[in-house]
Amino acid sequence: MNPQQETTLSGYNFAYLDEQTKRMIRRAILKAVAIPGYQVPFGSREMPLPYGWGTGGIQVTAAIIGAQDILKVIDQGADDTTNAVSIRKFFARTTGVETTDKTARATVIQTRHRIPEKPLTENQILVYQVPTPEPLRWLEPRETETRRMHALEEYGVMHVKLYEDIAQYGRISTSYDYPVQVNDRYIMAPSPIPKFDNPKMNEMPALQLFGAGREKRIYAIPPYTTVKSLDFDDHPFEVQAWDHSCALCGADDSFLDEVVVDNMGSRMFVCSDSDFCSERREAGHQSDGLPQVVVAQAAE
Amino acid sequence: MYVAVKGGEQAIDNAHKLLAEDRRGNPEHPELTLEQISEQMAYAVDRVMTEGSLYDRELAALAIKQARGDLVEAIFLLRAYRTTLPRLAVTEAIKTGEMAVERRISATYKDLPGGQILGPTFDYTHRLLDFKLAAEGEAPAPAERVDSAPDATMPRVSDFLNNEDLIELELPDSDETEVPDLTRAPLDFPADRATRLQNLARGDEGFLMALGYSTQRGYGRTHPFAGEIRMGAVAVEVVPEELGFAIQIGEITVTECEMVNQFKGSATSLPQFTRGYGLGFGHCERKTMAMALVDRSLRAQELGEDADAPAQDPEFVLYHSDNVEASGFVQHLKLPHYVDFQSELETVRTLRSEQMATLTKKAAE
Amino acid sequence: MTNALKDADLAAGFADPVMQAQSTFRLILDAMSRPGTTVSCGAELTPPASVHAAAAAFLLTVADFETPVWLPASQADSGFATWLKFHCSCPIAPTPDCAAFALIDIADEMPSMAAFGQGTEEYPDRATTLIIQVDHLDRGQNLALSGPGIKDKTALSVSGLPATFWSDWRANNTLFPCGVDLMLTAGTQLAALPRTVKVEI
Repeated sequence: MNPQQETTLSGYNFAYLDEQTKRMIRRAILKAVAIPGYQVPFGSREMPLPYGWGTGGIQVTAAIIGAQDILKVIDQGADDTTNAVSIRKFFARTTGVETTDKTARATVIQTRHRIPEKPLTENQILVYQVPTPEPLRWLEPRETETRRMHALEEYGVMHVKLYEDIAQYGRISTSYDYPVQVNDRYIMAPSPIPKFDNPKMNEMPALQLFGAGREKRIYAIPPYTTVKSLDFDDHPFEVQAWDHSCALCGADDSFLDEVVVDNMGSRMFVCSDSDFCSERREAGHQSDGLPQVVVAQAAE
Repeated sequence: MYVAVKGGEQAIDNAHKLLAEDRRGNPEHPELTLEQISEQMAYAVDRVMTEGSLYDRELAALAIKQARGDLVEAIFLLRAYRTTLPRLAVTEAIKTGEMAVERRISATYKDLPGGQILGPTFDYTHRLLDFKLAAEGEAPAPAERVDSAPDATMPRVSDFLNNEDLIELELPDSDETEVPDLTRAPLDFPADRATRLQNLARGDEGFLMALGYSTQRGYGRTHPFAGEIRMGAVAVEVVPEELGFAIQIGEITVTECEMVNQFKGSATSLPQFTRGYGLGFGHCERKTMAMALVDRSLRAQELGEDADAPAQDPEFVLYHSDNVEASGFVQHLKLPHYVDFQSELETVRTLRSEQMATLTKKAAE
Repeated sequence: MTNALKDADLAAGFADPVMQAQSTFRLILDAMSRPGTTVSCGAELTPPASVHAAAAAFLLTVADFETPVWLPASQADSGFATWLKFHCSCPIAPTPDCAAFALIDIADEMPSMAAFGQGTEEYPDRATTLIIQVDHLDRGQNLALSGPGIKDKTALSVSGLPATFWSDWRANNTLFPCGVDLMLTAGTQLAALPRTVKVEI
């Protein structure tokens, strides 16, 4: 195969989208930034990747990315998950921009389900892929209704839902896509990031953009904006904690993935953020790499 | 020592190679040509063009070949290509009244001007597997055809009803009304009828058929009669700005279904039948009939009817009709969700241990 | 018309529309995300006289046939209206309230902010973005800005705005989530004031 054919996609505009589409998305992004947390409807296009695979995030990235950018794409915190690889390749082929695994080097980071562990800076933009942009959708399936609820700031149902959790389970059972309130006004879906990542959104120096392709919505959190996870005085918001540290780098402050290592169900915990983990290991942090929960073989 | 899983890139490349190999199947058998698909799998091509919103038999055939016969995947391929095309002009509304009719039937009148033209249809075939086809049968004997371009235009059933004022009038929008384009602007509610029809025309045939069927079984009954179904070629015209009059730029085959539905009237207005409408590319009767049923159901509110059945709920129908959107979101569940699942796992473990502790404590007391 | 069109032809748009629209957009996005930050754009443009390079760059980047642009009466038949239609194909908005964008020079009589599209409670994004050409963005009245995008407080200096401007702006603030957004330009300088920004003088 001709390697040149493999690296560039001829016949398409820079970043795939035509200029009129980019302008339409750019206008939506500007309004999204002006109204933090409000979902701006936009004329989402049919992309060559399926809905649900990040078409919203891809359209946002395509509308902002330029030749000077350095792009990082992660899925579940890792650069080498299949869909992250596929999206990174899409942009490498349609823009020719430099890509990186290094969080610190990236100027644009497209993500699905995680915020990198390393704090982001003012020189970075974080683009989230969003499946369901409407935080009230599970409580009210009708768009006309939820739109009115946002307009009137009628968020009682959300608090009732969270409180019902407490009544039933003794705590709020939502563990990802945990609703937040942006700039004391709009309730917003942070996309299915674990609630562990919610505090990182608050007063983040980087601009955060959210794209939902199938649902045709774009929203944003400007830098240095208050983002509050919903809670109650007697049940304050809290994030997950693990009994273990990363089996590879020993980190005790990162989000851990559970890996099953044998047929008995023994398991170990490793950082979900692959760049964070490898950087720590390069800096000399090591752990024994052994399963932390060992399930003994049943007697023969 | 455990090493984190790597190699997504190579795995993807290999998957693509496997897919290409599998698609071709056994190379000892001749490869399908696009002509074979568009000639002999014409209904598949028609469906892909209709739901793909692009009238191009060759590209639809290519999409079907590439998708290995998976029509929803083929529709997706055609749609993704369509998005990259410039929109050069908006055509004049096609005139189905001036169609070169190949098939035309009415379930409401035994005979009518222009007659019933059965045309090519499965309707009265006995569904017996034809083993002659398996043995690469010869070309079938030619059928007798009526002159496919009748001298006069064939009036529509709804025109007869119109003449007697028996059916609601349907007036064309003024030329100034901008045609909505769902592929460029997001769906918004309340959605007008033009937008709804556009959504239904692009909608999944299976979904519309099930919804239409549900109205027949009583979930929002509309008393439908198939007033007329016609299929044939119509001219496509545009008005170039510099000319100021319409010129024909091509011809497409379409199927149109006009349902005559539940009459309504009041103390101040005489009873009249109402309408449901369906239109699709090529020969697609099932699709257009289902579309007409659902179109009529979605008008429940504007016609002052109870609207509590699924097919009468515009948000429910229009947000779930698109098979490219639905296919993507249903199947995205196979993408990694490690992080969300891990979060749930932690929650369930915590809740279990808390509850266990409470129960143990209670038992001890 | 032919003369105006000739002028428009002479005053070119972006030499590289794809890349320049992208880089300009990123500057605008930066300005919008960080109110009070002044960015420099449009230096390579030579729009018709009376229009700032930054204002022209902004419109070239975001305006097209889908966005009606409102111009004050003094600009309605100017070379700039022709330039705009030629390069962006955007319709000229007949009234301020139906405009996606409005270009206003402080030398012109400015309609009140409330005359422009404010958006609705359900669709606050359907509000006009005003591009206001001021004298300077590096001297003049000292403003202290706060709100989303700003860490604590930031300073911006503007000269040329009438005294009533800031009381109008405070009224605009109270309409949130509705209300207009502002782009202030001076030559190639551009600063943004989204509707969330609180201004102290």
